[in-house]
Amino acid sequence: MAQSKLRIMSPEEAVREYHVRTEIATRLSHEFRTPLTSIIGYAETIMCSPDLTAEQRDEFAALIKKEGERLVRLVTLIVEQSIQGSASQSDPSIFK
Amino acid sequence: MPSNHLIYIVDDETSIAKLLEVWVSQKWGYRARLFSDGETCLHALDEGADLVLLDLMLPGIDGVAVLQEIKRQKPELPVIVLSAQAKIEVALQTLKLGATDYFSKPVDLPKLEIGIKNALRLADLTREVERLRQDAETKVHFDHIVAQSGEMADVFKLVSKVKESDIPVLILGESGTGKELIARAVHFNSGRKDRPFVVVNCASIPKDLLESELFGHERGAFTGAIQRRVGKFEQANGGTIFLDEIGELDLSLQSKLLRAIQEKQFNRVGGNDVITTTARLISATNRDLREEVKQKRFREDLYFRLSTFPVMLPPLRERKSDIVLLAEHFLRQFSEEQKKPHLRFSRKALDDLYNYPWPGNVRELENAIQRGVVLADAAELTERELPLSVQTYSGFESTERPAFSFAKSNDVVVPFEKLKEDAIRNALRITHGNIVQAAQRLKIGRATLYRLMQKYKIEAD
Repeated sequence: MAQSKLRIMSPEEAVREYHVRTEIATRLSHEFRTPLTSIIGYAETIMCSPDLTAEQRDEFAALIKKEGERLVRLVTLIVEQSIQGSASQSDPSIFK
Repeated sequence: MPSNHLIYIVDDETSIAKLLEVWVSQKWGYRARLFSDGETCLHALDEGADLVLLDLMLPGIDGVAVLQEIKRQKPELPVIVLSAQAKIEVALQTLKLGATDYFSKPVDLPKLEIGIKNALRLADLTREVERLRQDAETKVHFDHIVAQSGEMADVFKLVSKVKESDIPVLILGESGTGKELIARAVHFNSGRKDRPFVVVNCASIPKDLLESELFGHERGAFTGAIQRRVGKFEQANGGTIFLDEIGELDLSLQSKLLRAIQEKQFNRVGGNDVITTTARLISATNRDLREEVKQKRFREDLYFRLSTFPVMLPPLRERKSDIVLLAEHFLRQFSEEQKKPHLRFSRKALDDLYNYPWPGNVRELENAIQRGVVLADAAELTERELPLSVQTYSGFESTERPAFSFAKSNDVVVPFEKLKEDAIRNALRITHGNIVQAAQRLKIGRATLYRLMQKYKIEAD
């Protein structure tokens, strides 16, 4: 029979857990929003700028692809982390 | 529309910095300069930035510290924070530290454009207000009131003593002597200078409206009072209220003004609420208030309240050494405005200006020079460009008045022959019929005088 992982945390542990979770959420938000800013921004630029040169259009499309790939790597990393362990064992700096 | 404003973009994410540059410069028409960290941006702060778009997560010094340093060095420089953290606490913190606006990433670009426009407009207006404020303060500083006479030096000494006190000041002097300028100087050199300076000309407002103008009114207080209105005393709260031509105030209003001064309280017209005022009162008049008190046209108790600290401004004719100084000052001012920078007075013009008694005081002198500068078409402003009243006065002593004054009848054309006749009659009157003296004073020969007397049928008594 599988052993239950539930246990009671001390107040100090609970505070630490809260800070780590907050820090991870902040990092995650930043790591998602940064490539999304580029993707949405350059897509909007291409859509709203009929006067763009062909070189600019290619350059912006390449940036959208690059930032999309960055997002894919991030999603992969998060999935691996969530499989490996709980928040209290995580290190927020991996998202740097 | 293209703009000359320079916007600094601080973001370590190259793709975002480049994206913002495309929108800021190509689409919105501003100039843009990119920085990949806060430190290099701080080093370039003096190089003409009009606005900073600042990311928060930066390598080295973080965005919050960069914002604090910008606000320390250049508090007036608008900073718009762009952050991928999307936390309300961060947004609040940056706004508290002086950021003009906060946008979370991904940025809504049309909203960012409006944010930039508003921030730049606000900064431009703030600069303009500051410039105008400094300009106004400079103009009213005692050092900048144009005067060198001992009489005016005495006035400045007197007024300097009272500027920090709250006692009422009564400025007395003929029309055009600069009573409002002195009142402004008192206000802008006092601790109240950042509070309002409110001017009320008691003679220019109809008597029925003056009470509401001074103390305000409640909605429905009288026909036409469609909404509550704050009066000048309330507007001037904490500052100074300047009541010009206070001698024109009628008796019923005098008692209300006395209450406002004594008890520092009043009611709006039609209102029951007692309003307290902390405005300092400066008043001015060209009337002899003591005579008005004697004639029962001015309340004695109000007169004593107002005249706690009287300041008498001497008329220009009693401080002749200021005439040339003021004339040169106005010449510089108006010749600059009229793009005639090399204009100078002729010797004769200066003599005429000096000799004229200036019944309208500095205001009349100012108008005379302004007119002269417009008329003058050479490098010299001669006596011919001065008003006729000034030109024709020069032949008389200060106690002598011309038989005819153009100043009072500018729209009347007097036949030249009549002028000559009047000049001769006047000269003979002043010299008690002495032909030799009259001819000398008229600067004509004796024979000419005799001939003209025959022509105009004048007999020497």
